[in-house]
This record gives sequence, structure tokens and C-alpha cells, in this order.
Amino acid sequence: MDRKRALIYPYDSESAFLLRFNHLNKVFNSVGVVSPRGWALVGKDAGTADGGGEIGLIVAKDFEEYNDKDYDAVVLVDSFKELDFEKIVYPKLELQVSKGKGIISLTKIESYHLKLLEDLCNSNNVSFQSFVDDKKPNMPKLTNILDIDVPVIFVLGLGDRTQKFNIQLSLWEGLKRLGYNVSQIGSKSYGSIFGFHSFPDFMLSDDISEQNKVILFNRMVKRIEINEKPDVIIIGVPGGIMAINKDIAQGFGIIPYMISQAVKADASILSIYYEEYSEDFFKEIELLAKYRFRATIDCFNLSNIKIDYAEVEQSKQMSYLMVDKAFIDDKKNKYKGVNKPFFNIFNENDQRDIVQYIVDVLSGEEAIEDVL
Amino acid sequence: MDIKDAFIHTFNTRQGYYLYDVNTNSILKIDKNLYEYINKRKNGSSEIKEDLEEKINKMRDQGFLSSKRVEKMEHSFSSLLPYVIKNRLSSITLQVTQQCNLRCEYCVYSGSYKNRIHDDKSMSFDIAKKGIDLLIENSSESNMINIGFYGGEPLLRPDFIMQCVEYAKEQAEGQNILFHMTTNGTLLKGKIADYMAENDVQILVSLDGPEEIHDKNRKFASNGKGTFKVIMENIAELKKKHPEYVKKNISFNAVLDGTTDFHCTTKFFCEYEDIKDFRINTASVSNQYSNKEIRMKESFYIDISYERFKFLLYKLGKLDKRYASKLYETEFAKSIVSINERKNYKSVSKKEHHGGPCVPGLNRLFMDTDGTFYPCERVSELSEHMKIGNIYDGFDLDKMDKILNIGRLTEDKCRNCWAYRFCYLCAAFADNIEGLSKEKKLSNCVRVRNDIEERMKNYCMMREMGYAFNDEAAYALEGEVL
Repeated sequence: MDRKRALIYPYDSESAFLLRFNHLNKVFNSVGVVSPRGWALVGKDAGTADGGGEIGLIVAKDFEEYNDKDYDAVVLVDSFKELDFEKIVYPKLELQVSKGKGIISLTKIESYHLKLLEDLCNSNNVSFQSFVDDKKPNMPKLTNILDIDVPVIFVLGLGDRTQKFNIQLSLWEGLKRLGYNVSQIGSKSYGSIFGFHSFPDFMLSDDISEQNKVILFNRMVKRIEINEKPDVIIIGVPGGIMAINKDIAQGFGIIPYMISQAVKADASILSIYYEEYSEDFFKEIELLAKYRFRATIDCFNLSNIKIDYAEVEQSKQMSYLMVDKAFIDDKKNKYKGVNKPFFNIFNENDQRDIVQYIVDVLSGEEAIEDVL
Repeated sequence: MDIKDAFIHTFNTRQGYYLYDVNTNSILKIDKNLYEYINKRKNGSSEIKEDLEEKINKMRDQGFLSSKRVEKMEHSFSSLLPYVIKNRLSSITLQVTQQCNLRCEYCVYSGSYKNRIHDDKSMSFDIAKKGIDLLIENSSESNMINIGFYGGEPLLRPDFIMQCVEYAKEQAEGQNILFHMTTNGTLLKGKIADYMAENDVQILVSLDGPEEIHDKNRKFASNGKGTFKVIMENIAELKKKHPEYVKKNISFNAVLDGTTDFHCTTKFFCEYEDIKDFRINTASVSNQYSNKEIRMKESFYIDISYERFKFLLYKLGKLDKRYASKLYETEFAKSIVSINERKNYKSVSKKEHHGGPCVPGLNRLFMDTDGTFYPCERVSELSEHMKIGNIYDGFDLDKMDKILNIGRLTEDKCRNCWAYRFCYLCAAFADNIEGLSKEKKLSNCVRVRNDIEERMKNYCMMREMGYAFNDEAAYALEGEVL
């Protein structure tokens, strides 16, 4: 099936993976990116957004910079900064829809705005597709946990913006290339565009008890195991594994905890913020993973995002600083004293090496073929 | 390890004995015997008391009393400066003009300071545009950008300010912008006042107190007359036309002149009908870069201390709010609540910097009329060390690094200073125009340590008296404030 040629909007660091892994996207082909002028990306290479190296597309300030013939749809995405839907987003989409461009949504849109957008598309006879998982599950009647018999890999993060999704996509691609049958639940709600499962909406619902969420997630993974017969299941775990301090709650690690109670990981990757950590930090984080999440951290990814703690303390909202991939390549070498490998997922060699490393970790368990 | 080597500081209040453990950033209440024993041991006594040593060992087992020191004074943003200027600029304050329509006695541009003096230089719109572009272009990771207007008196050029605001709004689509201005308030009227209200510009008006105190220093350049009446008329008019805007966006900055009557000042800000509902910041007449020593009358100091005491009584519920000066609300948060909100650590790190320096360029970048950058508007424009770049050549990372890591100048002292986490000395305290001076910086240390000890004592005293620091936050969850 021919993929729709699409422009990403509003483009920033949160959607850069769509370009970096465009070849894996089954739904649309990202041919261009549009970003509001005030986000400091216009006129720059799209790779500037996530600091992960050049991509080869220049960020446009408006859709008009593209020729009408060169794209079929606009993809509405999540962004790091919020944008006023009615004042900024909707007028731009209105113009695109009037030109016959379809809308693909990868972001949860408030119901009132969603209706507005659907009506707009309907009245102009253009398509509106949402890939955000919002299926309502049936409540479980039993409360037992079913064992998952194939190896499970967790991709965990110390918090948001630690490039967990890039790691998941690298694993997905790498393991498939090595011939494995891979099933995957992505940490985002629209994994289906890459052919894997989206993170289920029920895990974020306020109306379902924590116990039921654990059971539902366990059953979801078990059914994937039965139906898809994978060699390995990758689970991208959203959010952060713990509160970093009194000001930075990161959801208190509640979702990772629920997932770890639903499914036991056979291998785990933890992506951490850039910081000058002491070796004690890694010892403690491994203990935390072991006792809170029943998981062994097998390797670390050093992301290119640093938390600006002073600013968070003052403004009471998350504040970050982004460095580039060369900086991280240099810094990750300083952790050679830690007995676990460090990767930089923006480094092409590391993208390949992390896959091989995880295969080796899982293969290492093959001395015991099964525990009955 | 001997207690003599522990990285600690002891102090006492009327009711309690305390030990501040630097490594963990904890304040421990201890008994009098132990307090006296530790002090004696630290002062060279070799007498060992087994029962007290046992207590000390228990404290060590709990992770306290470590002798570990920072090995190197290095700010955690040192190697990140290239990225700060690339994606985390969040503010620029434009020196709209060096002209002023007032001649205030204590103004840092009056000639009494090692700083530039009033001049007729003004910023061109081209330079302002370049500054705004630089900010927007390098703020991709900033949650919000701030654009400030500073002088001289910025309202001498209302059209320029409007031009800048319109340009920034047009260029920064999708980004939150906060505009702010520091003004003497004498020209805040008519069309420009309406424009400020329409654009939610936050305004800090300089107002020192009641007419006789304000007018003592703040006089028109043209006729030497006081400016109080004009400011009050302008504020009243603005309040009448834009009440919500004024409530949200106007605050006053009062420079406390130690030669005046403090009671009159505080009474004015707390009781004067047209003023009492505004937020007030206070600052003393600046000593930094001053050519002469700034002195305070003893009676002024006594009055200030008495008002501070009354405010603490009010916080403890022992004095009605109407007797407490709101001039202390900010000071209370900065000096005492901040002690309560300090973070705890396992130990000091190998590389750390003492408190004080802001990351140059990150939050308070100041650009003068010629397009030269300074870390903030408070440093001397005569100091070459504070010029961290310009709009044509970009930033000077070496100079920024020196300003950020001003602790390197005094590393031997800072490494062993118990107060380093709470220190507030930045490069401006070391700047003697000719250079960044170790001696000048160190001359502030006794005062800083005394001040920090006083804050800790007040914090402990408030706890002893039953003040519950977290109560207000607990109720804020439900939208209520105590």
C-alpha cells in the first residue's frame, strides 16, 4: 500500500523519531515538517530538534513553503510545548483541509476540538484518521497473573524525554533484521503506525482500579504471546520509574510499577537523563529496579537531556537543557567503571550494539532452557 | 575519624542546640552536653568522653558527620554553556535608553558608583530586533521567554517599546512571551499605559515610601521637584481604567534609605489606601560598586529588626496580621522558608560550586544600547569582565565560564566553608572593575556566613515555637491559602 505523503505539525523534539524511523512507518511517509516560528527550529535541520544529528529536512514555518502537489496529509503530533488549538492549530488545519489534505492525528485531542476537526474533514470530504488508542477494555473477573513464556524486554526511563521511543524503534528494527519475530507494546499511544501495539489507554484511565490495570495489562501481553507467537516481546514503559525529588514527581513511577507487576522482564534497558552521576547512583538504581520492578538493569542509555533543577525548583515546572550526541558520546565513556554498558541511542553504532547486547543477555539465559 | 574533622557547623538558639551537617545538608537538634563537647573538641580539646563519643558514632552510622569536602569548585553547567546559549536562552532585558528624566541621589548611574553615568545614548530598533531574534532563535528548550525594558527610564521611548513588543509577538508564534519593565512611573500614562495593559506587561515601579521619603531621593532632573505625586496620579488613573491588569501586573520596588524613618515607610506600604494591595519588593541602597560606604542610622536598623520580629510573631499566630509589615513577606520566604525547603543529599560531590552565581545568559541576559551583553542589569557596565559578548560577535564563552565559576578564585576557602551551599556571592561581589578580585570576594564572607547562621537560627526558632512550615502548601492543594 502506498503511504500517504505527510507534513508533520507542530514539529519539535517529541516528533523527531517519526523522521529518524520514517522507513518503519507503515501509515505515512514524512516528507516535511512545520513548526511555529517561536519554537526556534524554523530554517534549521530537523535533527536540531532532538539533538540527535542531522536528518536532512529543513523545518518550515508554514505549510505554504511546500508545494501542494508534494503532500497528501497533515500529521498532528504531540509537542513538548503546548500550542493554542483554537488560535493557532485549527486555522492552519482549516486551510489545509480546504485544500483537500487529510488529517492524521497522533495526539489526544480534547473532545470538543475533535468534533470540530471531524466535522471540518467531513464537510470537505477529506479523511480524518486517529491512531490514538482509546479502546475501552472489558473488566477482568479473575485477579491472577499469567506467566509470559517468551522473553520480555523492558525499555524504562528515568523520566520523560529520555528517548525511550527511539530505543524501542531501534530494538524493533534490529531484532527483526536479525530474523526474530518481535511483538511490541510501545510507550506511546500510537505504536500502530509502526505495526506494533500502542500503549493501552486503560492504563492511564482514572476510572479503572490499579489492580484491574495490572490484570488487564497481563492479559493483553498474554494474548499477544498467544496470537503473534513472538520470539521476544518488547515493552516500552511510559514515564519515569520514580520521583526524582520533591519537585519532580514523574508520576511517582506508578505506571512502571503496575507494568512490572503484570509482566516480569527478562532484560531491561534504563534510559537516564544526562548528569554527572557517581558510581553509587548506579548501584542504588539497580537495587531499586530489582526490588520495586523485579527487573535487572542490563544496560543504560545516556540521553542528551539534562534536567535544570534550579529552574524546576523556582518555576515548579519541568525544565530541560539539551546537549548534542557528540557530547554524550564523550560523556558515556566516563562510566567505564560501572559494570554495565552505556549506550547513546543517537549514535548509529550504539543503535546496532544495543540490539546485539540485548540478544546476548537473553541468550545467556539459555543454559537453562526452561524453568518448570 | 575524629569529630574535629567533621564538616559541620554548630549554633544555638535560646531553646535549642543544633548541628548543621554540610554533607547531608541536614540540621540536627542535639543535646547541650553533646553540643558543648563537639565545640570543645573542634576547638582543640583532647578530652574524650566515652558516652558522648558513642552518640557521635551513632550519628556517623546514620550517615552524618562526614569529613568529606568538595574537591573542586566547578559549576554543574560549566561544560554545558555552549548548549545554554544554543537552546536555553529565556530572557533578554533591553537597555532602551541611558537617559533618565529623574536624578535620584542613590542611583547607580548618578556618578556615585563605579558604573556608567546618565547619557543620551539610546538603543536602535535594529539592535533591539537582533537581540529579540537571538533570544527566540536560541530558546527551543525554554518554557517561556521574557523580554524586559530597562533604562535609564524606558518610558522616555514609548514608540520603541511598542515596536519591540509587536515585533516579538510576530516572531515568536507558539512561544509564551512575558514582557516586563522597570520604570520610575512618572511617564506611565495615556496611550503607553493602555498599551502596557493590553499586552499584560509586568511593571515594577520604583516607589520608596510616603511623599517626604520618596521625594528625598527621587527628583525630576528638569526642576529638582519630587516625583511622588505624579506617580500616584498615574497609578490611580491606570487602576481606574484597568483594575484587573493593575492587580495582576503592577508591583513596587522600594529602595530603603537607611537615613530615613523606616516606620513611616512600612506604614505607608501597609496602610495607604491606594498602595496597600500591591506587591512590594524592598532593596537597600546598593553597596556594590559604590564609591563610598553606605551607612544606615542605628534607629533605622532597630526599626527594621523590630518589624521583622513582629512579622515572625504574626507568622506564629501571636500577633494580628494588621500589625505585621508585608514588606517582610518576601524576606520570610527567601530567608527562612528556603531553609525549610533545602534539599537533602548523601554527601557533597567531588565537583560542586558554592551557591550564588546564576548561569550567565540563562535567565537574566542584559543588553546595553550598543548591543553588548552582560550577565544581568546589576553589574557595572564599565567592567570589561562582565561583558560576555555582543550582538555582532555572539557570546564569549571564556568570560561566561569565569563568571559562572567565580568560586575557583577562592577555592581553598570555599571548599572548607560550612555555608557554601547557601552562599549568595556571584562574580559581581568580586568585581573591582580592574578585575575579578579574590580579596574583594573574600571580604564578604564573614557577613554571608553570619547572615546564613542567622537564617538557620530563625528557622530553628520558628520550629521550636511550633510554626508548621508545610501547612500553607497543604491547604493550597484545595485552593485555599491560610
